[in-house]
Amino acid sequence: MKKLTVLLFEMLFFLVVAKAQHVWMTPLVEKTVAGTQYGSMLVFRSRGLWSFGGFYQSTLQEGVDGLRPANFCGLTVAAPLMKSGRMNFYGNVRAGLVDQTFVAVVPGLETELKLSRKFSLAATMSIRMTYPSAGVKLYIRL
Amino acid sequence: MTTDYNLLKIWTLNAERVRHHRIIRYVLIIANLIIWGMALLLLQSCEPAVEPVREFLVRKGEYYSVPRVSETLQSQKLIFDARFNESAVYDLGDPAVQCNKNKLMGFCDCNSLVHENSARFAWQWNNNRLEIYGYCYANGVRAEQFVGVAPLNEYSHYELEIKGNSYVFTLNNEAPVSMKRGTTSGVGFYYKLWPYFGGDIAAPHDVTIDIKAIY
Repeated sequence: MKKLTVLLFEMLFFLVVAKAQHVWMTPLVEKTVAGTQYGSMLVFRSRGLWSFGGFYQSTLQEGVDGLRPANFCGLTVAAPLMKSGRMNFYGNVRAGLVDQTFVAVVPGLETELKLSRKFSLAATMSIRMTYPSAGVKLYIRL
Repeated sequence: MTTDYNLLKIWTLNAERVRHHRIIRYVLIIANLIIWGMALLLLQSCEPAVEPVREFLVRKGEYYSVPRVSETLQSQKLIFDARFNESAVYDLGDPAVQCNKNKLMGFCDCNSLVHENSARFAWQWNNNRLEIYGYCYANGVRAEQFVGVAPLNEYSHYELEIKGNSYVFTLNNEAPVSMKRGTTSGVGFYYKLWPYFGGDIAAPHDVTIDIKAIY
């Protein structure tokens, strides 16, 4: 079962890479109910503006009552809802593990402003731990 | 004649396309403004994005509280402040029933059902005081242990920590109480559990509890 999952994942991964138009590196900052998290994403974006990739983000400051800083890493998928020249609007989902233990699924909306061919700026609104979170991302084309 | 008709058709199609593009552009501009506005508003403040306080209500004759919340634990520690008021005072008549534990808050352990592996704070009105208990299921076996007494109309601080093979319950500054944890897989969903009245008997009147989650 595990081998099959890995095989399916690899097939999907290579398919995405093969069809990807560009690879984007994305530093991000996200403000959640649990504090501000910083991190980055590496995504492949297809011609149709579908994005697939991985992300890692972490809380830098110590939480209250000895709550240690949490990290959140996993996979992300974004689908274009509307596209037009310099502005695009996406629906996205991040799914992964918090502290390598707790499964978390985060749906969100993202709006992207193209600054140049190499750079885009995006604002995101998501639902983290049932509360709204806001984030900003800088897309850098590699 | 045919050429004129074709030209008219092309012109209509183009006009339709231009109108369609214009609508998309306006929608995108509005969506951008809304999301950027909200994101900047939330990001610019030093305070947490929202104040996570919820008032839970168990209506007379009911067991489950409203609002119904679906949330998973995302930390080794569940920390919250809870405040009871006079609605937590009740007399069910029978001392055996009076000792039924009402549930406050907790979580199902990794991918488990509530009656398999879970840990919750529980409460009961007994001996003219609000008693707080640790209430666990470990591999389907139920256990409960007294943790402390909470005052009415004041926030009390609750901590429930997963520590290896045990759950550690702490109320305010009282001594922590450790209870046995069942076997679970470790990585998965840890569903949070919210206020529930009972035991066997439903709420004799409306009961309200304020819970402030700490993340």
